[in-house]
Amino acid sequence: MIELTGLLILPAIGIIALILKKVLHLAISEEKIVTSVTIATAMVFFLGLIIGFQGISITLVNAIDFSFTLQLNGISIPFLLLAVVLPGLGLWSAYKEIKENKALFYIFYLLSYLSLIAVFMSSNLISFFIFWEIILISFFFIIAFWGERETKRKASMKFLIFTQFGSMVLLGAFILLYVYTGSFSLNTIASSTALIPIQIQDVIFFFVIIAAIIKMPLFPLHSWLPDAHTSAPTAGSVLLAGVLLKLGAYVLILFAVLLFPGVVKTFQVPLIILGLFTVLYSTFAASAQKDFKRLIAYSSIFYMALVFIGIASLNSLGETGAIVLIVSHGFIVGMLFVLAGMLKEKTGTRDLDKLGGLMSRIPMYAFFLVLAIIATLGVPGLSNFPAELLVLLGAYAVYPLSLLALVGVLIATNYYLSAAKRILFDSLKKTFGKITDISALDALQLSLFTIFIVVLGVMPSILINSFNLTI
Amino acid sequence: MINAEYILFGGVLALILIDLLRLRLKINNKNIIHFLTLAILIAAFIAEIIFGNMNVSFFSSTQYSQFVNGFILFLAVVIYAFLMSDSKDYSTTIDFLFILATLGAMLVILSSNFISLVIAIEMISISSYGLVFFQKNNRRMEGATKYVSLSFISIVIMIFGVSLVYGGAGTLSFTQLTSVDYIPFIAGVGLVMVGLAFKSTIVPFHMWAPDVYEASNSVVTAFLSSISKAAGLVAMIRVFFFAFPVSSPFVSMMFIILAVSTIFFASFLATVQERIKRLLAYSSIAQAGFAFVAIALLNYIGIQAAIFYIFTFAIADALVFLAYKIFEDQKIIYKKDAAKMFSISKIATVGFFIGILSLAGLPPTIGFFGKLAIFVALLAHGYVYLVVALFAIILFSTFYYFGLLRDTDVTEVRDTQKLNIKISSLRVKEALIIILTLALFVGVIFVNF
Repeated sequence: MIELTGLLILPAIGIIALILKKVLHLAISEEKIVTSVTIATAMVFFLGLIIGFQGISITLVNAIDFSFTLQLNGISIPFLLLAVVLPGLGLWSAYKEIKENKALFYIFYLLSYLSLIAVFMSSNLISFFIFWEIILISFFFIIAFWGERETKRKASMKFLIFTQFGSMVLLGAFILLYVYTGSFSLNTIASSTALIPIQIQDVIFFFVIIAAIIKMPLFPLHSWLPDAHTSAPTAGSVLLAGVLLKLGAYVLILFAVLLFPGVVKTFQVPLIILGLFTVLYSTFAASAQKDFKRLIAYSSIFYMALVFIGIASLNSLGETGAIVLIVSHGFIVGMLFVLAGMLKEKTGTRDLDKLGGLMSRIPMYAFFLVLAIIATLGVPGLSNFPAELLVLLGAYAVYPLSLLALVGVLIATNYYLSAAKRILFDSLKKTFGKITDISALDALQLSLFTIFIVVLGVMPSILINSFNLTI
Repeated sequence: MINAEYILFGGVLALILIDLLRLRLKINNKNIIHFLTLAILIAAFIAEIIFGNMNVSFFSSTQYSQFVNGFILFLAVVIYAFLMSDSKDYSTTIDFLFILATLGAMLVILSSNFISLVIAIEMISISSYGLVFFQKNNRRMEGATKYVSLSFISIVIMIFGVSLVYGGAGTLSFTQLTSVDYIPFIAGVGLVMVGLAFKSTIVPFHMWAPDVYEASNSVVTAFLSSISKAAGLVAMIRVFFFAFPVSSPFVSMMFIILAVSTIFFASFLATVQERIKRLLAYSSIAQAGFAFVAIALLNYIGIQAAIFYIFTFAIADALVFLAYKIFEDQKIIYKKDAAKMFSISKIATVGFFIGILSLAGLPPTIGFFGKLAIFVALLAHGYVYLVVALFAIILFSTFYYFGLLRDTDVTEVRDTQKLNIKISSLRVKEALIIILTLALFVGVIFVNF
C-alpha cells in the first residue's frame, strides 16, 4: 500500500529544494528539481494504482473539526490522474518560456501542483478549502507576474475576482453544511444529510452550482477564462485548462450529485438547458476568434458545458461520459495549448490572420496539430469519441432536446478545421521563410500527450473501471 | 505570585531610577536601558504564561484574559525588538512610554470597574501620544495634536457616560451592575460605547485613525493598530457582554449597523488610496469592524469568535506595518513604487504578502480561520443576509489587497545598487518578521468555537 501523503511529500520536497537552492546558491538547476519531482510523483501514483492507496487522518483543531484527512472517494482517481500527470507534461513549455525569477515561478507551480493533488484527496472540508484557495492564489501570481506584459495586470485581477467569488460561495455552502450537521468531515456529512432541512439543501445546492459555473466555467460567469488563458504562460494555460477547470466539475459531482441527488433532480432540466445554451454560445464565440489561444479557450468552455450536461443528466451513462470527457479533454486541451505556445514561439504571433502555409516549413508540428484537432472533434479511436457518445446518450435519455449539443460539435468541426487551414495550408507568408521545425524534445512532449489520448481512446474501459459514483 | 502586571509596573519604576542614575554618572550610552526594557517585556510575557493575571480589587481576570494579555505581551516584545533594531539613539522616554502603554492595554482587559477602566484607557492614551510624537517632524506634530485633542474629547464623553451610569445603577462595579429603566442610564451606556468605539476605531468615531497611523513611525503604527485597538475591542466585550445586562435584539442590531458601516466605509475608502500606509490604515479599521460584528451578537459563541479574530488581525496588522517599515525607509510610499519591494528584502516581502493574505481572509493563514469562526457564529444565529453582505465586502476588499500584491512585480529586474540598507539590522528585523509570519500559521491552535 502507498500512503497518499507520499503524493504530497514529493512536491513539498521540491519546494524546499527550490528555496534552499535560492538561499544557498546551489549549482543544481531549477528545471532538474521540478522535473524529477513531477516524474517521481507520477511514478508513485502509478505504483499506487497497482498496489493500492492508504488514507491518513490527523486531527489538527478538534474544536472546529479541522483535520488533515486524505482519503480517496469514488471519483478521485480520474481527477488525480489529470492532476498528477498534466502539470509534468506542460513543464517543457515553461523551461523555454520562463526566464525571470525562475525559482519563484517553480515554487508557485509546485505549490499549485501539490494543492491540486491534495484537493482531490481531501475529505475534510476545511483542508479541501485551504488547498482550493492555495491553487487560486498561486495561479493568480503565475498570471500576474509571468503573464504577457500588456494584459497580465487586468487578466490576473479578473481571474481573481471571479474565482474568489466562487470560493466565497463555496465556503458559504461548507459553513451551512457545518451548521446543520456539526461536522466538516465529508463522510459524516454524507451520512447525515437527512438532518439538513429541504430549503437549506436548496440553498447549498445553489451555492455549489454557482461555484461550479464559475470554475468550469459556464455561460454568464465565463468571461474570466479567455482573458486568463491569453495572458498566462503556456505551462499555466495547460494547468488552468487541464486541471483547474475540472475542479468545478469535481465540486459539482461531489457536493451536488452525490450529496443531494434529490435536489439536482428537481432542477435537472434548467441545468441541462443552461448547459445547452453555453454550448451554442461558446461555439459561436469561438468561431469569431482570431487569436488561436482564445479560440481554444472558448472551445474548452464548450467541452466543459458538455461535461455539465452529462453530470446534470443524473444517470450512469451521462455521469460516466462526463468523467471520461473530463480526463480526455484535459489531455487534448493541454496538447492544444502546448501547440499554441509553440506557434507563438516559432512565428511570434497567434493571430490566425497573420499566419498561413506553415505546412511546408514545419511538417512535424503540422502532424501533431492536425492530430490534436481531430482528437478534439471526437474521431473514433481517440479519447473524446467514447466520452461525447456517452454524454449524449445519457442526456438524450432524460431530455431529448439535448441532442442540440451536436450542433455545437458540428460548428466546432468548422472552426477548428478552418483554423488548421489558416495556419497550415494557405500560401506561405514571406515573413515565415526562415522558421524551422520543432525540436526532438518538443516532439517528445507532444507524443506523451498523444500516448494518453490514444490509449484512452482505444481502451476507455481502463478509465471507466477506475471510478464509481459514491462518496 | 509574580504577575506580569507587577513586573511591568516595578520594571518601569526601576528603569526610571536607573536612568536617573545614568544621567548623574554622565553615561551617554542608552543601550542598557533599551535592553533592560526588552528584558522586562520578555519577563512579563513568561510570567503571564506561567502565573496568569492578577486579581486585586478593581482588576479581575476572566476566562480569556490570559490569552489576550499573552498575545499582547508577545506582540509588545516583537514590536519593541523591532523598534530597537530600527532606531538608533532614541530617548529613554520611549522605553517608559512603551512599557506603560503595554501595561495600560493589559489593565484595560483586566478592569472590572469603570474607574479602573477609564484610568487604564487614559494610561494607554497618554503613553501613545508620546509614542506618536516619536522622532518628531511636522507631520507627526500634526498627527499627535489631532490624536490628543480627539482622544480627550472621547474620554470626556466616556467619563460623562460613566457618571450617568452611576446615577442610574448606584455602582460602578461590573459584577453588581443591574439594568435600570431610567433614561439617563441608557444614555450613559451609549456614551460609554462612544468612548470605547473611539479607541477601537469603529465608524463614525474613526476619523483620527488614518491620519494618526499615517503620520507616526510605522513601528508605533504597528503598536496602535494591534495592541491598542485589541485592548479597546476586548474592553467592549467586557463592558457589553459581562457588565451591562443589555443583550437585546435592539442593541445587537445597533451594534451590527455600526460594525457593517465600519467595514463598508473603510473598505471603500481603502480602494481609492494611493499611499500604501493609508491603505493599510483603512484596512485595519475594516478589521476592527469584523471583530465588532462578532461582538455584536452578545452571546458566548460570538465572543469566542471575536476574541480569536482580534488575535488574528492584531498579529497580521503588526506584521504588515513592521514589514512596511523596512520598505518605507527606502522611500516606497505609493502603490506604484511597490515593485521595488522584492529587491529590498525578500523575506520582508514574503512576510508582507502573507500578512496581507491573512488580512484578506485567505487560507491557510489564521485570518481565514478567524473569519470562518465569525461566519459560523453568525449563521448559527440566523444572520444569513448579514453573512451574504460580508461575503460581498470581503470579495470587494480582495480587490485592493491583491492589487497591492500584484504591483510588487517580482519579474522585472531592478537596479539594487542605489539602495542603502544596513544589513546587520535588516537581519534582526527579518528574523522578527519571520516570527510573526510563523505565528500567522501556528496561531490556528487557539481557534475555538
